[in-house]
Amino acid sequence: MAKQKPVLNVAFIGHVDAGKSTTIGRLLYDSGAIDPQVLEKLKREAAEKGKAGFEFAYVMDGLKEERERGVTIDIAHKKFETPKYEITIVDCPGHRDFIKNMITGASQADAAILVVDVNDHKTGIQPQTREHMFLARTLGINQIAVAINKMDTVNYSQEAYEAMKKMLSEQLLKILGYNPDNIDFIPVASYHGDNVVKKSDKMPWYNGPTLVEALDKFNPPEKPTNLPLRIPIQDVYSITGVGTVPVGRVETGILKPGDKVIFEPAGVQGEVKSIEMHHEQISQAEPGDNIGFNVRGVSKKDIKRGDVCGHPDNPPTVAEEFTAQIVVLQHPTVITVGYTPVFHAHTAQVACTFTEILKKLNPATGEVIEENPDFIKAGDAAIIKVRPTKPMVIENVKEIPQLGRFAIRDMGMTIAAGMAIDVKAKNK
Amino acid sequence: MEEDKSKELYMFKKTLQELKSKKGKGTELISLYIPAGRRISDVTQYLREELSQSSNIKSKSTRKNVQSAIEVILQRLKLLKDPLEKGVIIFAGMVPRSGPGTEKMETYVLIPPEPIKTFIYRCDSQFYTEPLEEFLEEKDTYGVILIDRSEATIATVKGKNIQIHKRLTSGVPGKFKAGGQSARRLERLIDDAAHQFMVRVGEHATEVFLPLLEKKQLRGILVGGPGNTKNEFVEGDYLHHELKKIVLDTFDLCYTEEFGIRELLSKAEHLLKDLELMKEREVVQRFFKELIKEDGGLAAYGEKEVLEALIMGAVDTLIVSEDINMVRVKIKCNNCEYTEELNIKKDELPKLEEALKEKTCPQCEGALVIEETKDFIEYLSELCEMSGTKLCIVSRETEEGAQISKAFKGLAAILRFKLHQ
Ligand SMILES: Nc1nc2c(ncn2[C@@H]2O[C@H](COP(=O)(O)OP(=O)(O)OP(=O)(O)O)[C@@H](O)[C@H]2O)c(=O)[nH]1
Ligand SMILES: [Mg+2]
Repeated sequence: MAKQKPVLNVAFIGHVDAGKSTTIGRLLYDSGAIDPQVLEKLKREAAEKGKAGFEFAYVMDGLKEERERGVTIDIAHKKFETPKYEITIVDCPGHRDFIKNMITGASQADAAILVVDVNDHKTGIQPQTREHMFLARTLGINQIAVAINKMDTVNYSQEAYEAMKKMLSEQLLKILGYNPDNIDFIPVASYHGDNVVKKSDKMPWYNGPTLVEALDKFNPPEKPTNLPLRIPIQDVYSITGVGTVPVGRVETGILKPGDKVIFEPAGVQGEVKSIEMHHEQISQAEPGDNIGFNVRGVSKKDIKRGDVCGHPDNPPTVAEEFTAQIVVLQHPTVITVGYTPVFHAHTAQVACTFTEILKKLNPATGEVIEENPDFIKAGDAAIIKVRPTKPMVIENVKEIPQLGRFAIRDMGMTIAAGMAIDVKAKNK
Repeated sequence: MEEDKSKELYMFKKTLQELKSKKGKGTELISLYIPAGRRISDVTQYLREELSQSSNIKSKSTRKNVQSAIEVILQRLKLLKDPLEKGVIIFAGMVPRSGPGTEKMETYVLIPPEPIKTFIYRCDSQFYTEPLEEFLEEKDTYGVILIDRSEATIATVKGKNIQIHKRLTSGVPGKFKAGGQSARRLERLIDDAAHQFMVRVGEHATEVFLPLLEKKQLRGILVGGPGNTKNEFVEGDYLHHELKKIVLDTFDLCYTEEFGIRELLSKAEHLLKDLELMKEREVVQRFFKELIKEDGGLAAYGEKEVLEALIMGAVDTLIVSEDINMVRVKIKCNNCEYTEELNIKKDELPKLEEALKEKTCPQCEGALVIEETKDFIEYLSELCEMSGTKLCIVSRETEEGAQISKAFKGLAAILRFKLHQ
């Protein structure tokens, strides 16, 4: 089946309980993608579970555990059409325990909607609001819009909206290098449907776009079809009667049924039988497509989240060691050789050891301040050498930018961001 | 107290390594473990009998060597006094230096860190060191279970070691909905799979932890992971009832792999503070916190700076990596009073010997020789004793230890006051 509209992957990010899932549920409902009867059923289920008010969130929160606790645990995708785009929505969990899943989701996105609770302006920016935005930036998401949610709880007050907008702009977005003037801040009350799809009549002071309109203002993503094929695997299913179905987003290159493929670092090969996107067969997958593809010759046990699929004549690079440029965002002490935090790149997460700190750089200008420093700390930029503790795929950012970026986490926080600028391959 | 233990342990380990490397020509190396409270005269009696028995040994050289080793031990016993509080361990025997004919009598007398329980007399081609190694082995173990819906890790933390025993993946279906399955059926499938997974994790935990519990080595179990699975696991009937009793706490973590254990350790600091691993972490982190201060705080590193501070009595805590592999060498002149001391890598010793042949005494031009070499850590510990400095010997197995070893060449210090402004 031919695709008419360009595909755009949009991640919904933000602190726990900001209303990401609810906003998505509302978006789907008001645009007719969900049957009112289904919503009625969800509403009853939510009430039974003592989670009244979560019916819209239940649209995305499909797991029993998610529904019982009222938190999103793993990412979920839903297709949705706007006048301009075929949008794949990626609902990310906000709870800090599930941040690794959020990173997987954000790594698949072309753009992001940051959802915040308008009441945060009284208490300050929430920690995962901060961390998610930093990760989004790190993972190369340059287009964002902000949904300032739960406007109903402040009587749709313009003041509260402005205060929230100012706080986010000054204390977060500008610091990360975004220009707030180019970002839409949409006051919404997702639970009630204000300014999500339908323009609200309760906020006459706002004349910007609704959330759906804001989505259509995003630019279509580039399609690096001429780069080698790379599909970071998000999950692998084994479906009776079908076989092994890895799912993930095509980052670069083109995949067609009949292609021979290899998964690294697993090193297993197979042949693509068919490709599906949102339960429909397609004849070719391109960058940005979130697909499930049926592979012959590979079992579910062979591959897992974090592996990358490519063509055997140009397989994904398994790094024995790599050189990277990093910026340390926050760290309570110092970073030295021997330090072994977790690196998140595309859908992979692997502990990596710092083996050398080659240069300390001026974060603003990139000029070298010190050769071979003994340590670096928060605020520093540096060129380092890193050795993964187990095999992982990472690419030189100059060759395949989509797979060259990573975030570093330790002690329950994101401490640094970086990109690989040289990779010593194990498999080439 | 602490730092004494750190040094004692280090010296003990060092001797153990040495002992293990010794090999006799025949079965002629003697190992003797005397339990606490055993009367010395009883032992003397025993050895006398062994001595007369040994006249039956066929090989002449072995007979001679065994007999002289027993004689040496008998001499040593005379120096000891009743009662032996912890007992004593004696090794003696003729050990070849290089080729045949270079044998020399070597004797080691060790006071064990814990009382010895059983009497052992052994005559073999090697020293019998297994009981010694048992002394060194940390007995207190904590069990760790990290679990979420999709995977689990079972590990133990003991002394300075984290050991992963088992990694499991669940195969619990994720959120992706397979076509044709009703939501309810899928839910049941997921619930079933999750239950089966927790049963499996429980079985593996029993397999790993129960034997430790029976040996009275398991101090407790910590359970962690993202979300609610860990609570379901602890509250449900998945763990062996004896193990369930010693679950100390559950922890919210982001990860269930090896680095989840790191996350757990920092969150469970208060429960684990008596673990060697945690003490090491604490000291190194304290050093790092000083280092990060704008003016370098009270941190010092590098051989020259640290030694200078140490000699001045300015060091509060000295951190040294056990793999530093250095020696303190004393050089003297054959002719006059001149002496000189320096610290070098152990493997540079032959090079220094060579170099000395070329060099002469700066005072009288006499020949220079090495008078004494001493293990560098031993040397440092003596300096520490003199200035009341705490000594922390870090292992290379821990991440913090590796950082000290690699980034600071194995030597760092937290100062009492700043030396230079
Ligand atoms: N009053 C009010 N409540 C809202 C609104 N939107 C969401 N909520 C409530 O906020 C709570 C959390 O909503 P979710 O959609 O689950 O939040 P989330 O951001 O997806 O949370 P996580 O996925 O767990 O990070 C629910 O109780 C919702 O009913 C709103 O516009 N107004
Ligand atoms: Mg949610």
